[in-house]
Amino acid sequence: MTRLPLVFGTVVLAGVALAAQSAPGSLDPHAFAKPATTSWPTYNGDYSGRRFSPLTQVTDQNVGSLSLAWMYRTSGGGAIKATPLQIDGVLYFANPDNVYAVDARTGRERWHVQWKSAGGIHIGNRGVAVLGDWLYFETPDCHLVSLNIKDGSERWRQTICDLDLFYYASAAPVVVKNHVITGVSGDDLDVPGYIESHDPTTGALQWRWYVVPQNLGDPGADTWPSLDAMRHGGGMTWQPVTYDPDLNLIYVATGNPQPVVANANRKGANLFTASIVALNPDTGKMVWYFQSSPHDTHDWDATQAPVLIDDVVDGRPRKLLAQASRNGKFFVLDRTTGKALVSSEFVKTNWSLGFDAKGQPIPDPKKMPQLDGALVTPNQAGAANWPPPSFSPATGLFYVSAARAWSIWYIYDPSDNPQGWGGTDRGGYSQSMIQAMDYKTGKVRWSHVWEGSARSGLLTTAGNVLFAGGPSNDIVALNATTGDALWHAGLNASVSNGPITYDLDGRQYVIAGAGDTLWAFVMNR
Amino acid sequence: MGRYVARWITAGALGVAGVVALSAQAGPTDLPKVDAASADRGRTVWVAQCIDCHGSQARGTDKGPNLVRSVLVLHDRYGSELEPFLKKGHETQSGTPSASFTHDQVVDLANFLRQRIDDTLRGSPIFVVQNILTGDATRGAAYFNGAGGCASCHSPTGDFAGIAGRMSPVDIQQRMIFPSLGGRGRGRGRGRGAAPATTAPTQVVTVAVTPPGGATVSGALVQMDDFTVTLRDASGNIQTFRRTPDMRVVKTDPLQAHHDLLDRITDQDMHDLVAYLETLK
Repeated sequence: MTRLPLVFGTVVLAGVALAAQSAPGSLDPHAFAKPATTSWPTYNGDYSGRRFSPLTQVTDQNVGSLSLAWMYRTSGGGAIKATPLQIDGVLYFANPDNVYAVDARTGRERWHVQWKSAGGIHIGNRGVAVLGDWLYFETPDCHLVSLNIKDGSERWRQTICDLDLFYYASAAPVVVKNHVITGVSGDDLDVPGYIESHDPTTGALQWRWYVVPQNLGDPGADTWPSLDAMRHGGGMTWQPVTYDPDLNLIYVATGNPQPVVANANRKGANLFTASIVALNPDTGKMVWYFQSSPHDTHDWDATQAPVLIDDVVDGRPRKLLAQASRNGKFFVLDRTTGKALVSSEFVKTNWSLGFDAKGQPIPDPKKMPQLDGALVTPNQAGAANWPPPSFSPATGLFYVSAARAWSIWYIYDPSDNPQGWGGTDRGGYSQSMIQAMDYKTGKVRWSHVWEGSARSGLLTTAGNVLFAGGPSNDIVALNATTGDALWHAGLNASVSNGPITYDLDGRQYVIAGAGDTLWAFVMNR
Repeated sequence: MGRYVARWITAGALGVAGVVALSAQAGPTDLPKVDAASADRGRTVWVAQCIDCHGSQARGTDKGPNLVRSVLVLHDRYGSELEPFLKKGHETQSGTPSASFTHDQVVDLANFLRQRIDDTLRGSPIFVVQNILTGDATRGAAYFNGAGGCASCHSPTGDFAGIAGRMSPVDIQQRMIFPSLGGRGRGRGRGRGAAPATTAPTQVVTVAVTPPGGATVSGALVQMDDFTVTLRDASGNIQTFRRTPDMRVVKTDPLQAHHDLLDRITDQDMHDLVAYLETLK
């Protein structure tokens, strides 16, 4: 990484020169285009973000016979928020400063690596990426690290952000061709978000794309009031990208603008924060964008997974992208052009005045944070958050862990030049649910309301089963067509990641993380 | 991005056993700790030499840049970056050469600037609610006795008598809108929340369970999900039922009227109500 220059004055982040180079390590771009059955080779199982498995051994008819196979308790790093990868019978996952390799059949530890930390926020780690014999993960103290998957030995490390600027790293990298795509985290201070591509073999930086414009005249600069505002405009890249190998586009969901709540010094739409952005993975150049939350003032970063859906309209295939955004809105886009086809809500909200001609929400100024408080739904945690959704081609439904939640939003810093957050929300009433969305209409097909609080990643299978975390520290199976509850098993904590499934030796396993423990279930026989 | 809970920092060599738990933080482990007395001295230097260009909070003016966002200042450790910079010479408002600043003066300035940075973070002393008493008490009284339906359960001479003397305005607002939190609504991240209410609600959610062909059993709801329901009956016994499609389960939440209000109450109604309740000294 290019060391950022020391400049007395405003943060000036120099453009990073393209250093793309051919590398011996590269991935067939179509390798993860379809869901696997005997492995789970990338964060979402494939590149689409659907988290749908074609496995059918476990069905809505027999899921009641699903039983515990094994459990593995981690020894450091806190809750498992990572989605494990399963490759050649080994599960690989991370939590902050720790990487684990665990036998996928038995739960026995193969190896465990601890990272000596220099700081950073340790709120979570979404997981690892693997290319060949090499694993990639991010650390809270701003490193991208490559390990040998056989024994965890380190190959290289690269600095990807600056701890002094209160960045940290928590995202799961994604390998696309010969690119390790890495996002960055942190919204305490007003710094720009970006996403990078690194050479899988050497770790060298290939490109960096800033989420917010860095120079006057850059695309999106006209949506900021000043150069200073946009250079410090935030937009972190917290979540893994999805990828269409035919279009050769990665889909990046970007975070909230800065300052987060008090917003007097950033009037405008604040592009390209809280947006879905299509980038060329070879160059880092933007092809299109769609802003899910124009001028966000509620920390509703739009980093929910852009899920790729292939449809057939009038006999012709159509490439779509769907997102259930943290602000409660549901979008279906043409993923070739970024044009919105459906804009709706997956829960009722009260903060917008409809949609503009592009299908983007129009924020209601009265529902932006106020000195005396504004009652808003959703709350800061959002109608959805980072836990990954699922789309089942078998049912045609998009599933999301949702919440109808209220809070009161306050401005704490009434000045014309707030910094950081300058306000927040307080209080709250929340109702958790799974929403099943008909992506063609944007309407809720069914809603499974939880008795209590639950928010986890989701998994659907061709057996018509939806796996989710329930409100009673349990993993729950629902009928994917109707939402009816079918089965559950008590765990040590609420499900804290996205469940996965795979077939080994003719047996279908279901894996979920709950707190510090990884749980494996398999069919009795 | 919202963060729910800060967790752990672990330390230990790669592949070497041993984990040390440290308190979580945003920046690096060697983040400067502000010496308040030094920062106060630094403020004096600031006012004399810097404030005209960089502003009272170091957030910049038309004449000088924002130093809270300065990479050099953010990298500084007790003057490690600031002192070499000032030694090179930097314009001051008094005309005093910056190179003449003593080491102690630079450290004081560094503490003052770090304090300004910390003040921008959630949880800082200035991260507090402003005046929320903007409503109209007369309209609030009308809403209380009319459309809000508050008077059906509450009385200004009964449970609300003297409420303004027991709770701050923001606690009244939070308790009124989110009574299930008992007024403990807190800002997320590391922001300061409202103080706990002086009187906690004693509302209990109840449930009535009628098994197929059986008698109804009622009690305080302990736990319920799609598969089981557990209650504490009038005798204090805990009873758990496995839910079946033909089992009737009716939950009663005494705060339901408040939950329903969330979709009806306007911000103006909310502010008027707080203004009215604030008159109940």
